[in-house]
Amino acid sequence: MDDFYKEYILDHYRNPRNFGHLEKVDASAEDLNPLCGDTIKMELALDDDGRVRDVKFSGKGCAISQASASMLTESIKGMRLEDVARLSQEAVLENVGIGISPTRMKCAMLGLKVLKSAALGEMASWPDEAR
Amino acid sequence: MIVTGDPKQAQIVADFPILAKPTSRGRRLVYLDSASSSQKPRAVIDALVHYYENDNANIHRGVYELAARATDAFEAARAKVARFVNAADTAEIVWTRNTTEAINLVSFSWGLGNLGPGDAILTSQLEHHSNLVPWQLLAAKTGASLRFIPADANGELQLDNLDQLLTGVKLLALTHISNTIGSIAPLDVIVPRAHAAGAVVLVDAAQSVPHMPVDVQALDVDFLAASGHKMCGPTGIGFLYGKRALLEAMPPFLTGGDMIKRVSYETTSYNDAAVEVRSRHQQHRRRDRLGCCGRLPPRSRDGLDPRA
Amino acid sequence: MDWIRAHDLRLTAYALDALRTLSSRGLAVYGPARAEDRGGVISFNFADIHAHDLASILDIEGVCVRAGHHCTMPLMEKMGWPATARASFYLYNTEEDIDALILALEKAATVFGIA
Ligand SMILES: Cc1ncc(COP(=O)(O)O)c(C=O)c1O
Repeated sequence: MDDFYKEYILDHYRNPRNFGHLEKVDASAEDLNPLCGDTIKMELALDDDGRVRDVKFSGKGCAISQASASMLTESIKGMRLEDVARLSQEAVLENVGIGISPTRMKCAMLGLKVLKSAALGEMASWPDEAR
Repeated sequence: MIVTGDPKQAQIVADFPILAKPTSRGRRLVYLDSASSSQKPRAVIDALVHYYENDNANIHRGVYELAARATDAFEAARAKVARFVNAADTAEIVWTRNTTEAINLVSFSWGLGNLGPGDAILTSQLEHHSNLVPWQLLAAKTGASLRFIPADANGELQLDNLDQLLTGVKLLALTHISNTIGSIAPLDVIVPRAHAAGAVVLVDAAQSVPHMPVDVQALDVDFLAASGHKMCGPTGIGFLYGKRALLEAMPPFLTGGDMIKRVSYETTSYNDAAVEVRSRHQQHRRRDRLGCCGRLPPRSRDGLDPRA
Repeated sequence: MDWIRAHDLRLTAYALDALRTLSSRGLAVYGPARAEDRGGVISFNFADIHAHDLASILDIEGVCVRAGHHCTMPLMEKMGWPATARASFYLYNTEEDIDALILALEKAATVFGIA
């Protein structure tokens, strides 16, 4: 238990990084975890090579979902959108760094799910050769 | 282990084997989620095993003794449920999977035939999705409107405008005890006024039947739904109480099986006593599937009543 | 069944009193104030701890409570609660179970740094 809610998780929960909205949004998505009602929205601004120039998230929910989303936003700046779309659950879990029980996995993965759907949605509008 | 001073309470706790099993972290299990699903006493667990070891057969089908025993147990359980909620007639108890299916049965079987444009369904702001979504769909299908009795910040129903809300209402569908906030609907006040307005009254008793005496005749409700798994019974069995005259006028909900009088390739006629048989087919199918048996409800009743 | 109702009532009253001892630390109990006006169900939230986090910490302590919207999303929205934790009682619960709930809540307060 003592490493279940580590201090940095609570810190991300109470002081989420990159929280809020972007002026100019190139890609965004929003979803909720129907089990607990957690919601997360991700907004991305891209540079000309399709890299993440800036990211903001918003929403509300449990410490696991909010901290996981917050940490995710920190790790994707400068990343190519294709790589964002390919981010794995394992990478997110490693990032979060605590054991997540199966019943809470959806919470931990909500940010990733939303981020990927923002990335894939944006990529779908790209001309073929840019993908 | 629990250290309770009251020997009767200690005996009740001891009847539930799961409560003696520590959690994976070695803690005593403190189960405070019975509103979702209750734990099962030894008597219910044993009855399941006993049934499959001794009496298992397809009910209402076989002519052999084993099938007769299974059928008897199945029907005896129905009679016990009828007594438990004080139904006037055993045939007023229809087996369902759970509360949700009981409410859907009314929505499809009674609602589709009795509601139309201009009619209204009245429910409340407190409802479980099981007593809300079926009415949203029924309203959409029939052109009826859906209204809500408001609740205050404590989850207590606001009845100031009840009579106004009831005008044109064909069905009042109300939860007896809110599963979220715990408030109790004053059925003694609401039901007579709903009847005076000409409405049929359905009560979602998922949270009340397991926890307090519920007398369908004293409450004078028309339909009442509850789930076995919330009252020490196995998962996969629940019931709908319905006044006989209403049930008899309702077409079958799920069709096939032994509700049937005669089937040709083109058409089917149903048994006269459709009220009694309409759910049997579903019942024994689900019993097979989910490991329930007709013997359980009476045992679970015994498990429920510490004096029994 | 009268016994069960009386038992639920006794535990609900006991739990309401016990939970109120945490109200100065931000524990909010929802629903009718008097046990007589309720079934054996108590929904609550604790300071800024999300109900799911609360349920996870309680689970570690062996205490099973439900957390979420309890299949009543419109009601939750009307009340302005994203989620609640919910403890509910039955014939096999005892005062010791409620004491365990309170201890586990205190543990959650420690984890979340609630004074
Ligand atoms: C008030 C209420 N109605 C309906 C239901 C649905 O019960 P079931 O899932 O057994 O159909 C529940 C279960 O939580 C409930 O609390």
